[in-house]
Amino acid sequence: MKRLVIRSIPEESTRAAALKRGEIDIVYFINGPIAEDFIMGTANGFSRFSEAIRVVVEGAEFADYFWPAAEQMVEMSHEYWRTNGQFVPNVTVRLASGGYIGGGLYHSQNIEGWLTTLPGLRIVVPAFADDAAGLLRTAIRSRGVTVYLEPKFLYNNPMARAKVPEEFAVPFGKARLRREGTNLTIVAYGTPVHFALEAARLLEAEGKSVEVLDLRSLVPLDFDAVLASVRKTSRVLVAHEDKVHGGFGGELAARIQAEAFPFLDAPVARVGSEFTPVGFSRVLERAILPSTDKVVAAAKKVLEY
Amino acid sequence: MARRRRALRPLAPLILMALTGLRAGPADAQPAPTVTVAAHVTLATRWLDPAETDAEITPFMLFYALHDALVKPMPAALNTPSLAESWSMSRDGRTWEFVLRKGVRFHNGDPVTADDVKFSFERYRGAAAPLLKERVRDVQVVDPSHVRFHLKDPWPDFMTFYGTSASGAAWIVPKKYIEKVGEDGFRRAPVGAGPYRFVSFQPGIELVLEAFDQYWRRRRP
Repeated sequence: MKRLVIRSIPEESTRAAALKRGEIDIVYFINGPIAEDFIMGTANGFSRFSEAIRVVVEGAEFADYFWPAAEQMVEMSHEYWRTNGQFVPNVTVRLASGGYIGGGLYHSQNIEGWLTTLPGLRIVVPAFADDAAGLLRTAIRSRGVTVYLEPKFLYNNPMARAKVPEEFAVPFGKARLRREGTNLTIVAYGTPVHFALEAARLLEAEGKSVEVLDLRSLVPLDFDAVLASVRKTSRVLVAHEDKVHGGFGGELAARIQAEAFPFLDAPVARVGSEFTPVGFSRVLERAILPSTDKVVAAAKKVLEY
Repeated sequence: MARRRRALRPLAPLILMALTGLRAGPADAQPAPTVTVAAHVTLATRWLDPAETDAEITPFMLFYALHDALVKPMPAALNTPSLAESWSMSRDGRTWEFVLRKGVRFHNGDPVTADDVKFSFERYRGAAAPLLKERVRDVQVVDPSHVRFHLKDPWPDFMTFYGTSASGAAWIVPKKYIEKVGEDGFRRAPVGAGPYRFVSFQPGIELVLEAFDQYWRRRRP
């Protein structure tokens, strides 16, 4: 840009109005009360002012606090269909998700099992820094609603380190093969991708070759990549942090068995959280959430079937 | 007024929004001629001068546009080489030497030299001035592109205070220009070495800057 103008507009609603009128291009701080339905509804309404506006809801707090916003989220997921394509909320919703921080039941939830039941939303979950940047870039540049789930265990976590190329963008609906193998496929997303990779290393020492597929995007889902891997290994374990009961792994397992049954040598297995809130105690947290040990144990069962 | 519908390239240091609208567009669209940012605060005159840096982050949104520092936080690292291309600490921890980037100029065309670094440090009177000046014995101009900070005692945290937003002491202002126009003149028409040069300022209302074509950094680190 040739010229940069910084204008004082200390009053918040005036700043928002100036943006709406096109008098300014960027605003610092449009806050609101900590009311998640208000935040989500504002994002939906705000994106109507112009097709060119992209709204990023940066953490309607943790995913745990997203439930009050559910009504607006459902509403937003309908918009494209309801208006026959006349209106698309161009909104990216960033939600810090998951546990392993000793946060207990209000700071450890994974809610993608529920989110993926809503048609009209894209759901993405990065496991590495490059995908985190690339998926967010694609989400912000795209039309429509993207829920971008950030595994908070991976914030500043060396295990998620990756070099991020300039302007790196990850297309939606493209899984990433993290490790090639021939005896078993572990399909994972988010933090458990790292458990799966560690499990694959441990099982390699026992002579087992494990493939790890990082979904990155749940909706749209790269089911072709899943099928290709299943046809190759004939054994599948799905690992996610959300509860096994009602989790997205159920959908995956059902589709794999429906579409690749002739290729399977063992039932599709799942590893995830127990069907209970996550406890504050580290002991309870370990017992409830998935881990490398649990992935290894489940993988062995599938391999031995 | 900046009515337009073209691509807006994000200003990395300036975007700190909880919820905001960015006008997106085709990636190959031409950069907009004018971008107007609504600040959430009343712009203070003292925020145009790094010497006055208070113990708060807000003025840095102007510094990053108008001025440049020897070393400053950027997306690449907390201490990212800027006007200094490198620096080193002596074995005894008492001397820090900076090598200045060659060919860098202030908006008025004056070269950025070690004299400006010494002058800026000595002129700095912001919130961290007592802390820094209590520990720095002398700033030595070795030659136009080398400057040494001699400390009274080893201080491993020197760069934490000097090379970050913990102080404004490493932000360089033009010695010759300030000596010529005086403090008031500098306040009225600040000259920096940043990516945008000063055009006009209505205190408390609006600051207008223009791209400085000769700014040395071409890509975000």
